[in-house]
This record gives sequence, structure tokens and C-alpha cells, in this order.
Amino acid sequence: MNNKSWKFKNAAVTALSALLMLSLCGCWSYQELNNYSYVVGLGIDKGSSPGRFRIIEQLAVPSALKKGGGKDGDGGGTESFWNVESDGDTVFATIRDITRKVQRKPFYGHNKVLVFGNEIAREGIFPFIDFFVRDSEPRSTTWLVVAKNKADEILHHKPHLEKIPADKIEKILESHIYTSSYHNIQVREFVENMLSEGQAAVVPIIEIYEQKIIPSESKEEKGGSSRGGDEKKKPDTVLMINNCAVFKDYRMVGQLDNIESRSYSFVTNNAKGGIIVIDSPEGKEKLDIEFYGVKSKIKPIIKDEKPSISVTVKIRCGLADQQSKKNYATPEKLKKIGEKVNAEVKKEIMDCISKSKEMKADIFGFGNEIYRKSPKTWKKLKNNWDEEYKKLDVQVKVEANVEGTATIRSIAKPGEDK
Amino acid sequence: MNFILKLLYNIKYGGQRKKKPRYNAETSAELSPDTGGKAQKGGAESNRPPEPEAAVDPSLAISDKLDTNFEKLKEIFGGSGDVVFREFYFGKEKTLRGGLVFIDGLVDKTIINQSIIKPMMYDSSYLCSESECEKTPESIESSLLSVGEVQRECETAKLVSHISSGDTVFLVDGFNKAFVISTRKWENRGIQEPQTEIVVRGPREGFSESLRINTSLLRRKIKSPDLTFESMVIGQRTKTDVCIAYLKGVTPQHVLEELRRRLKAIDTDSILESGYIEQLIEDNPFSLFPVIGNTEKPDVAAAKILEGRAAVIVDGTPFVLTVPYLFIESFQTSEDYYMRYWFASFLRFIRFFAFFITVFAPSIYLAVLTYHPEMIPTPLLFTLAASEEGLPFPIFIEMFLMLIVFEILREAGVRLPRPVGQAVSIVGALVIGQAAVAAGIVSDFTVIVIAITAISSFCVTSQADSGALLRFICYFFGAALGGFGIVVTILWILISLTTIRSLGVPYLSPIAPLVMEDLKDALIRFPHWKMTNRPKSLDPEDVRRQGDDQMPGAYRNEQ
Repeated sequence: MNNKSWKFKNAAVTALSALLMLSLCGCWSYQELNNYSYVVGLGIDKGSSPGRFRIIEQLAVPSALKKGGGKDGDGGGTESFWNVESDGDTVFATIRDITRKVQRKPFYGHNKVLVFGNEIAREGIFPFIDFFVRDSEPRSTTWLVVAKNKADEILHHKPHLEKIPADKIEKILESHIYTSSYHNIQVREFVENMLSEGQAAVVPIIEIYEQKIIPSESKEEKGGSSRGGDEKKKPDTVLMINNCAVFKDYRMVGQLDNIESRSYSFVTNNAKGGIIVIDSPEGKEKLDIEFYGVKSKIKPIIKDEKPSISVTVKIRCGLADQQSKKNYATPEKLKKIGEKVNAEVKKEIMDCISKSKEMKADIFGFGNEIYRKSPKTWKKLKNNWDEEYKKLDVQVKVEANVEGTATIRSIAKPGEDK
Repeated sequence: MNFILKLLYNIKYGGQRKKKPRYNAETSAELSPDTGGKAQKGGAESNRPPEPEAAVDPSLAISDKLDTNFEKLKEIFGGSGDVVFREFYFGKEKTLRGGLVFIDGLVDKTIINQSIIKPMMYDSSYLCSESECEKTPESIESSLLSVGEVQRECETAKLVSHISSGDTVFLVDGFNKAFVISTRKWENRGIQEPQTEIVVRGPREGFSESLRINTSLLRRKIKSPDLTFESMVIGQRTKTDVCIAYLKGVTPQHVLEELRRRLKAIDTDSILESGYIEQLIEDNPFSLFPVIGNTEKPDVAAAKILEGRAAVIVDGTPFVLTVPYLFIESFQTSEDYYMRYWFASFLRFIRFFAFFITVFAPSIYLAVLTYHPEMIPTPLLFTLAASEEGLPFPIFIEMFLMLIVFEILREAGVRLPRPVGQAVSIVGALVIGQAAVAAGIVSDFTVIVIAITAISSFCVTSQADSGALLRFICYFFGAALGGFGIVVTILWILISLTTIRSLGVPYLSPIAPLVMEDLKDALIRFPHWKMTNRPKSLDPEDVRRQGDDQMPGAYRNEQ
């Protein structure tokens, strides 16, 4: 009985102290929603004085966001975003320094996009990327883009349709599935590419495109209606993704144009959809081939210690538009078109590969494939990979399957060659 | 938190439950198995075993003088106005003196007038006078009292309890025994639709306050003679009739024995509602979860009895207890079995989901907003942040206020008279829903979350009270420790659920311990033709419920 009561007392003391311990660590990191300010975009540019850089934080203004979308607007007065800048030597210090200007602690968990200015990108972004991988708040799924000039002007560009520039950038990046003409890359993938030996990464470049008064014929145009009101006289501008930057060892070493970027997407299995323009089998007119399923396989072949790469790209596509008056809705003709597509895509891919060889940047990760196949061979190659890559023999095989002619069986003009 | 309660209890008593034998066979409980009940009107002669004649305390015994007996009884009842003493003469030349004692309002006066007094006065002329014939008592019982149920008693105390229960006592001068004539009848509510368990499809009748009506309702559902009602009386002062109903050969004996043991051990002066009994026989008195079920519907009680459970019917309340009660039963309704199984199974999921929401929605909302804002989709986060903009209170206070207001509203809505209750709910909805948001005290999202929580709490009514308490516990843990706190609370809930039992049956069965076959009626409801066996977790004596091949179809007609 005595023993028992002692036991219970002991249990009681333990339990009560455990409960008290809860209160000690309780409310750790408790934050009200409006104690934070939410960073949605972050730009890094060269600073005014040499050696320093400038961070531009784009903060969302929730109340303005809500009002603007709301019913009876008295909105519009306040901007939906607010850009704050700060100069510094290191990322974290600079970011913290911003709280001297922003009364609410910036929260990076919802940062969508990281914009690097051109100069910074060419000098190397290694000093800046570490924080975004190491810290717990920023996500590794943040998009990475390079500004054609300065990150500053990109983040200040007021977009159409969206209210926040960072939102717009994210949405353009997400709509790459309609063209595949640029590769969108997240911080994690970028760092993975950088970490695997010899590999380079491809990052989209964003620029401000100035529209002519006449509606432009630009294929990549993503902006909405033209702007009205007081800015009538100024030419309308839109944010646009044009070309991609090639990063080698955290440094921008060159560019791929849109077609090359698409070829890059083909080879790396990132192409989701888009249009290939080819000449008709007869020669003169153009055909639009829409592809909607691309599967590629990179196969390293090692023969007598000498590596080569064979790339097979399988494309599922269909005839989506034609300027020719011929009717192609027969299996034989579609097959012919498929051959045309094969040739065209193969040429584009080979162009892209030779461009990357010029830059000595193994954007496709061929080196990695060789390493996986035969670590021994890779050991010999890796010290001189830049030169070896230039010499690397790459065989490309494209298998396009033109599956149909969309919703019509014959051409728009009746009476032609059935 | 039952944990703390338990601790306090243990500290106070040093972990030793005082075990003193409190059961007194004479006063607290009388157990007498009988099929059909002891006061069934118009039924056959009672088959009650004869009372032992000897061993009666002379001071308690009935004297053979009518006047003495009357005086004794008058003294005991203290001159209550509703106790009627009626004296009359009967027999040949009206030489015999008799007296009736009953309580006005508890008895059927027609029986007294037509079947007791009338035959006594008119047809008793062949009875000899007391001195001449010793067989008078026998002939009174056998040829004069045209009533279904008559007993003989020779103890004053027992007479008193009979009179209090509505029986009529007939005393004859010169005879030291009394006839106890069953004349119970009093006004009752009648059979109405129960207010707590409303169904779209299914019987609308509900139990009422009268024990007899309730047993008859059950008997009408289950006509098998195996349906047994065991009567007992609990409560020294209220002398409440309590009845265990079970199906012989189905309900496991060990459950019945345990139930009897626990009921007998009750030593209290009053049982006013089945809730008293529920709390006095629970397995885990510190748990938040109810381990004894209750129902107001005879079809539900019958279904549970048929599954191998026992029911405890208490006089004076329409709520019949059912044991053992499993957690899963909270999510079953009678309608599950009346509607087709597809939708019934879907509704089960809805109920589980609703229970989850009602317990965890406020705390998850709070924890995500204040600890894990990165978990919210960006556009939603901005909308939330915008709605929180400029509000005076932290979200914790805001939400807590609303939770309390909801509980107040609910309580008020239940207690207030119907017409006023409606007004309260309108005012409440307007004040809370509209004005509070418009005035900038709470955000509209908080109101939405509270509304969902509140509505969900009505989906699983039998866990509504435990749900409300858990909601607050979880809320505080979520507020103090964020998502981690909620996970801790969930763990605590699961652990405590696996710990408790209902009359020895694990509360979480058939899920933990896993009884594969019983899962047919757990998360989803299998069609009736698939539920061949009774729930095995209840360990019924006869597991089989129906034949094989009950699936309807063309092949069955061919045979």
C-alpha cells in the first residue's frame, strides 16, 4: 500500500512536470498572419558600389489584392505589390537588413521566383544560391530566371491580368507546356545540375518586350490586351521569356535561342507540348505539327573505352494547321510528314548539341549518363571533360508518329486532291 | 483531461480504491428472472416462486387485526393525501371486514371498483365468517379477485413498496397476510416520435417513460420467447424498476453476469434516469468517451439485442442503455440498415469525416495559420491575410471566442422553449455571422470554420459531447505547439481509445483488435445478405444470424 501510493505520487509528479514542460516550449514560432510580410519574388542585381549587390524583395500586399478583386472597389489606390531593396555583401545579412524598412518580418515560404540580373549571372551566382538551399523558409521549388538586363526592372514591371509581377513570371513559366520553347527550372534542379560533375544547367531569360502599336506577330507574346488610359502614348511593354541562359559552374556562359531550348527540352524529356513548323512534303508551304507527347532516351555506349551517346526521341504529334492545299489525311501521307518531322527535329537537336559543344557546356548531362554506365570510363574523362565533350559522338534518332489531323479529315478548301 | 482527474483521484486516495461491501441484498436490489414482466395486465397467472413463509421479523409482520395494520401503514405514509384507505364489509351477512390501501393516481380505478370491491360486496355471500371457515383467504383469491396478478405478502415493508409502485393491498381482518393486487396504471406520455434520433426511413415510435410500455415495444419487435426481461429494483428511496433485456442463447453469459454484478453493486438512494446507472457501471469512469450506449428507439434497441448485446431499461426515462457499446456504433445509425448499402456506406464515411472536422478543424486552422503559413496555397494565404488585416485580436482569441459563443448558442437553443429557441438561433446567426465580421472583430474565415465545425458536430450525435471537449483540448495543444501539438493530441486520443473497454469488450474493436469479419459493418456497411454472422467482437453465444447464400438473384428461385 505504501509502495503503491509512492508510485502514484511519483507518476503524478512526472506527469505534472511533463505538462509544465509543454508550457515552456509552447508557442515556439507562433506568428500571426499579419506579423509577416510575404515575399513573392526576389531579385538580385549588382549593387552601386563594386563588390556589393542589391536585393529586391517583392512583397505582396494582401489587402490590396483582396480589394482589387472584390466587389465595390475603392481599390486600385494601393498597389498590390511593394518592392523593397537593400544593398549588402551577403544574402542573409542583406535580407535581414530589409526588416529595417519593412515593419513585418518577410516570410520566404511563398517566394515564387528568383530573378538574377544579367551581370550577376555572368559573374556567377554561387554566392547567392546557398542561402536558398540552406535556409528552412525558402522553398527549393522556387523558380529561377535570369533577367536580360537587370532584375530590378523585371520586378518593377506592372503586369497585365495578374496583379503581381512575380505571379506573372510564375504563370509564364508554367505555360511552357504550350510551346516547350524554354526550360523552366527550380532552385533544386539547378543545384542538382551544378552538383553533378561536368553538367550545365539551362535557365530561362526574361526580358521586357516593347510592343509596336500594331498588334505584334511575335510568337512568344504572352501579354494580354493593350494598355489604355494615360499611358497611351508610350509603347506598351510586356514581360516575355526569350531564349535561355546556359549556366556552367554557377556562371552564365552562353545562350540558347528558343528553338535550341526546345531541342534541349526534347532531349531532357521536358517537352510537354508545342508546335513544330515544317515544310510540306511538296516543299513550298508550311505545316504546323503539334506534339503532345515526347519521350526521349539517352543511352551511353562505351566501346573500347571510347564513349558515345545515342539519343532516341519519340514524338507523338498530329497535323494541327496547314498552309498547303493538299489533303494529308491518309496514313501514307502522314507517314511522309512524320519523316519530315524526324528530319527537322533531328537537325534542330544536332544544332543544339553543337551549340552546347561550342560553349563546352554539357547541358544534357551526357557525362552523368556515362558515369552511371561506367564509372571507370568517367574517371578518365572527367578531368578533361570540357574537351572530351566537344569530341563526344552523339547519335540522334527521332521517331515521330503523326497520329492524326485533328478534327477535320479533309482540307478547308473543298475539291482539291482527295 | 481524464488523465489529470485520475491523478487527483489517486493523490487523494493514495491509489487505493476503497472496497467495502456495499451491496445489501435486502434493500438495494431484488433480482427475479421472469419472462414477460411481473405486472403484465391480462397476462397469465404469475409464475413467481412462492415466498418463503418463515423467517419474518415479528415486528415487520402483518398482524391479523385490520386496524393495527391500517394504523401501521398510516404511520409509515405519514398521512399523505394521495394514499387511500378504504374499509368495507363483505361475506355472508357482511360479517367480514376488509380494507384496501392504494395510492390515488398510480392505480387503475376501474380494476379496483369492478374487479375488487364489486365482487367482494356482491358475490361474496357464500364466504363463511372468519371463525367458521379457514379457507376464506384461498377462496377470496381463487373465486373473488377477478384480477390477473395477485400475490400474498406478510411483511409491512414489502407492502409499502408495493403500494408505492401502484399495487393495491387488500387486507382482511383476522388474516395475517395481505393480498397484493396488481393495479398499476398511471398517466404517461404515450408512444411518440423520439426527438433525439430522427429518421427519414424507419419506424417513428419511441420509448416512453413507462417501463412496461418499453418492454412491450421490445417484445413487439422480437417475438421469440428467448427475449428475456430480468427485473430488479435499484435505489433505496426511488425504488426504480430496472430491467435487463437480452436474448437467451445469443447474448453472452459473461457479459450478462458482469452487467448483473455491476447493477447489483449499485448502492444509492435514487435512480432518476438511465444516466445515473450509466455512470455507476462504466468501465472507465475517467474517460471522455461514452462506453455505454443509449437509444430512444425500440428498433435500435432490438437490433442491438439481436446482435448479442444487452439492454438496460430504466423506469421513468425513454433512454434505454445498451451494452457493450463500441466506438464504431457512434457512426452507425438505424437508417444505415434500412437504406441500400451503397449510400449507407457513403454516409458512414461522411460521418467519420464530419467527426474529424468537428474535433480538429479549429485547431488545424489555427495551427496552419500561425505556425505553418507555408502550407497554405499562396492565393488563399493572401485572402486569409487580407481578412485578418486590422483585426484587434490574435487568431487564437478570435477563434476561441467564436467556439465559446457557439457552445453558448447551442446550449441556449436546447434549453430555451421552442419558440424562443428559434429567435435565439436567428439572433445568434445574425450577430455571429454578420455583425461580428462587419464590426471587424472576427474574420469571415473564422466564422466559416466555426460554422463547419458546428454543423459537423451534429452528424455524430452520440459523440457530440466528447467531440466538443476534444475540440477544446486539441485547440489548446494546436495553439501551443502547432501541428506537432495536434499530432500529439491525435496520438493521445488514439491511445486512450485503445485503452478503454465496454463491459470487457475493447472499445475500438473491430478495428483494434482487428476482427476481420466485423469490418463488414464498420467503415462500410456490407449488404444484408453478406452479414451472415453477428459481430464476433461481442462474442455472442450463437454467432450465426442467417443462412448462407442470402444474395438475391435468379439462381435462388431455381432451387
